[in-house]
Amino acid sequence: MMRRLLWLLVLGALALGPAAAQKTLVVAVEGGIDTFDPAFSVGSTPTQTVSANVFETLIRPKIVTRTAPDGTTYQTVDMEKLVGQLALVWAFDENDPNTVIFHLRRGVRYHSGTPFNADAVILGMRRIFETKSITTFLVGMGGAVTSADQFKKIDDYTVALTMKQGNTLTLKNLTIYNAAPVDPADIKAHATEKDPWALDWFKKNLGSGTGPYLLESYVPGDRIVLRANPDYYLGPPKIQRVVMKIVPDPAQRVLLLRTGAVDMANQVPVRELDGLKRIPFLKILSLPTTNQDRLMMNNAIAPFDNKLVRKAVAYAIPYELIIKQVYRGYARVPVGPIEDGMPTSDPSAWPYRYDPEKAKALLAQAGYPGGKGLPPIKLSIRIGNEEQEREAVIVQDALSKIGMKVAIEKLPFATFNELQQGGKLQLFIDDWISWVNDPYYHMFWNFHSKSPTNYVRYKNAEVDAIIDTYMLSRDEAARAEASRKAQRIIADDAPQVYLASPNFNVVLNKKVTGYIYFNDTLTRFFYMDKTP
Amino acid sequence: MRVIRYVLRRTALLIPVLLGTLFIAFFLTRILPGNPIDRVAGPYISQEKREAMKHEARLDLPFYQQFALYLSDLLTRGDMGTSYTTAQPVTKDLIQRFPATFELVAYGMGLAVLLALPLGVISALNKDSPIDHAGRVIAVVGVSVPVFWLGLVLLYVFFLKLGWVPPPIGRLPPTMSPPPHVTGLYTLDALLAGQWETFRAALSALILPSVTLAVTAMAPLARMTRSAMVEALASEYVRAARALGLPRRVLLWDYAFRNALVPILTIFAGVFGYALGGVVLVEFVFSWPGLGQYTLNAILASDFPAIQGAILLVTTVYVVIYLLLDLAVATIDPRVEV
Amino acid sequence: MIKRLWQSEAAYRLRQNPTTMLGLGIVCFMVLLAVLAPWIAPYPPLEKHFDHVSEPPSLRFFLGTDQFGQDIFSRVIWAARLDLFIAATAVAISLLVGGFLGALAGFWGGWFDELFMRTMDILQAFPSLILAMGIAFALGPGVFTVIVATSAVNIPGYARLMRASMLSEKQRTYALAARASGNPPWRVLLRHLVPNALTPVFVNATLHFGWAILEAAGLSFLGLGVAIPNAEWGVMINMGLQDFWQGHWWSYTFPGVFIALTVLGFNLLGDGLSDVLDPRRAHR
Repeated sequence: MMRRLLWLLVLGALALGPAAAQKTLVVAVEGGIDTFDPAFSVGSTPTQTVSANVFETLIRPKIVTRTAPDGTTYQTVDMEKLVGQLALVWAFDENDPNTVIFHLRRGVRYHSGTPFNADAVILGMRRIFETKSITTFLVGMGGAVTSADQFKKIDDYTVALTMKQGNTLTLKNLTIYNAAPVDPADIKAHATEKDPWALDWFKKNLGSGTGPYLLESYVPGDRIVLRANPDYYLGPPKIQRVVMKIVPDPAQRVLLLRTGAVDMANQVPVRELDGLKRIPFLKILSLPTTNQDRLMMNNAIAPFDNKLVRKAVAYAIPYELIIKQVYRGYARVPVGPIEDGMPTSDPSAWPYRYDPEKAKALLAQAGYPGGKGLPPIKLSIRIGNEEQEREAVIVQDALSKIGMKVAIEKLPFATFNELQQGGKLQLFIDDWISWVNDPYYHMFWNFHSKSPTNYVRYKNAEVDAIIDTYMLSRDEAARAEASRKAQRIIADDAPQVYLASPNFNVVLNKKVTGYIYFNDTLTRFFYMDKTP
Repeated sequence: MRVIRYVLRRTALLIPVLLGTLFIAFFLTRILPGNPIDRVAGPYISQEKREAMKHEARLDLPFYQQFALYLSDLLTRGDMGTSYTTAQPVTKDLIQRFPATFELVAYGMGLAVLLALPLGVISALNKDSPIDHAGRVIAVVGVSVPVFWLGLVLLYVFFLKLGWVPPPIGRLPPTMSPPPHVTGLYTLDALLAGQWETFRAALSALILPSVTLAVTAMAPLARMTRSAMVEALASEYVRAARALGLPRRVLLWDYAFRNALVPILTIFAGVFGYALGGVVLVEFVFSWPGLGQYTLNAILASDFPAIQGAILLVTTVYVVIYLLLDLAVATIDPRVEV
Repeated sequence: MIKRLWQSEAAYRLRQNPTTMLGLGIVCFMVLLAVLAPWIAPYPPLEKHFDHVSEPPSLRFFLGTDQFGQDIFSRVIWAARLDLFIAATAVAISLLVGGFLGALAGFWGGWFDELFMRTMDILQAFPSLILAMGIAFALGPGVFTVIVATSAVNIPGYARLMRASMLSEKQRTYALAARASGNPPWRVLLRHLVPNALTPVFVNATLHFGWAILEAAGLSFLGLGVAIPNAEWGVMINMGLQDFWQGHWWSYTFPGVFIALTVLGFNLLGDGLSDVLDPRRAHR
């Protein structure tokens, strides 16, 4: 005890001076951590945020500066340009177009002190594949990488990845934090005979990573505290502590922003944004994204197995009203299956505008004049998403005007997810943002008949063929051409209807600088700073 | 000795009740649509892996086997499983959440007693007078108001309009660290540690939620106090004591109130138990990080171990309160056979 | 018939109590609102006025509008219909099921009674709101769900009451006489015992009516009950919650006032009834 006190005194003396004050960033987040294992975190944004700040991948997308429609410039990433993270550089092998060589950074250590090297990468990849974690699915797209053996150690600081077919989509998938190699020492220390990859331990404990932050404490239902890694290889982070205060109610996150008690919050209800704009010490970044709120019509369940009914719905939705009433302008009218901002997006492919007369005609043509003869329809939404709740009410109202009676059903998210994944929901609203900003990534997950996230059970052999053929292609021109063709086919089938493309809204205290928008929407605290 | 045997006998009787509630909790969760694995796994996990995860969680076993294994884990290791929403052992979660709820309910009930007892006694002393009628209406109004709505209205007035209370964001402001853990009750722990700032903050965060709870809990207490006092005041020994010319104060407290205490305690235990379950709504409105929110979130997320653990804890507390009540009654009232 | 009821002694005592009459008045008023909703409400409950969103009370919209421009006055009135229907059905179900079980247990006794009492112990130790939440969640949201969840948690109370009432009626002379004169047991049960044992149960039902409204509204408020945007008081408060921080007090205040008023009505009425019909309480 005495010694610790002495230490504190010494440290305090060293830290004297104008920079003495510790920089703490307080962030209001919506939930707690459901697993600490980076290979398996999918559920909650706070969980993912912790993973993305503690663990690192070999490569990451390049940071670029863009201008938002409202004229503000902001920083984001460009998925088309991949740069090194734990790998200092990467390149396709000159002799083998299917192989990529990663030259690892030297002198990097995990928080525990374990050196990071090729062995750590290989072990990390083996863990990912042998536990069949999320990354397996992602890099397995198109069969590019199906086994950890495709990663080979050349020397201590060089790793080669041989893919079925050389392509960039697999590399883009490798930028997602789920692919981060965890500390070999953690695996070794906590593996058991039954659990050779220490899944149980990693679920309940945050392992040591290479990233700029590590976990200081986690009080479920209250707060998650991250502490800066002083030995980070890019230099110590400017913000020394990040307090992620768990505030499940979005309105209360707003309240904390207003009182200045927190420096940052995202997923702020849009109805609060105008009010927050008037507060002098806050700034709002409202960034266009490829996010889409979608009205999902199960193509395998009546009456939405009928293309004409789906088209009728697409013409019945008052799109501008949704942007105005639900999003108060903090969203864009969506442009079609591939959103504006994703390469090859083609707005001309999507013909649907608000036209109730046409909708009525189509519904009659489908055999349900004025809605007569329609089976009962349930519109399911998740409890707790306010904007989607409002969209549901407007959709219900709009559909009733063409004679389609719809009952709204609010489901707890676990139930919703199970029914959605099982293809059992008839009509529902959800949202989707592709973490990898690539049209084939997006189309595979949403429109390929073999995709587990094709929640509307859309099936079109031609679309499947296009995705299969061009997913791993490096012929960019042909790839783009085929994507445009697929968009027209999908538009004609109208398997889903797009309600809005909401902006990503981050509310920050003006003291906070350096925010970068990543496609996965997760905050990277390393780049941020806070002026006193 | 007899008291100990009585306690033991009563405790033994509790076991089937607890087993039964646990069984119902188990049954309800298992028939629910939705299971924790699909949520935790997300869509990007192979079917094979998903089945393996279900196996790991024993969800592939028949219902009765799951129940038996759960019981054996609970009894041999005190293990209630791991929550799917917090990634922590359920026991740890409950230990952390329970004090928050207990502190809120304790303050709420304390306040309710402070309001209800005088109200009931005054009503009884002025039976059938306008005061009595007014007291009765106040009590009935209190029990008629939806607790979640009352919370909102109080928040509107005292937070949004007047700004007298802190924002409803839990037990402490986000920048303040909890006091060193002793009991988990922040006000008490802060006092023990001598942290006055923390004590004030914790107390002011408690004001509105506990008032909300107190208003609804007050009514049955006040009514029972009134009728028990009326009965006691009309009883023969009180009349006899009055005839003897005992001072009014002694008459009231030593004779009448003492006799009225048993029914009041009984209703108090009932109200306390009800508040423990009904606090969900108050916690929801005030973002109170207690057991109620935990249960609600667990239900929404199909977090089976968390639901079972929370229900087991609440029912245990509930039955223990009744046990304590019976013991208290036995000590107060000599007529009760132990 | 009604006239005779009004002139009976019990009714006289009821009329003497001003708070009971107040309760009766409130209940009658609410029932009237519910029945006449289509004629009183100026707008259909789901009609949206997107040009008049979240407006405070005015001459056009007496109690203001919600975030979809739906008229709160109309919705509050229509909600009386749905809420009274839910409460009445829920109370009726718990009364029937609980009454039936309690009567059987009280009449037959023996192992059935023992099993029954232990089950009731368990159900009553279960926190009622959490049980209701669990049931509501298991059945999925909807009006039917709210009714089932609300009635299920009340069954033990009715059953116990009916059993106790049955046990005391069983010992009365008329019951013993009916049995001695060779009537079959079920006949004694249905013809003689049940009608007499029901009185305290009915009184309890009145008291529980308000409680059922609170419980049902609470479930809908948590999002586990009636679906949005239907006109139901709990749903309206839930929707009003989204407007709370903007200070749109009218969106949640009025539905809450209506709940409180209705529940108050039933509680005052139930109180008065039990004073009159329960001779022991009348003396207090």
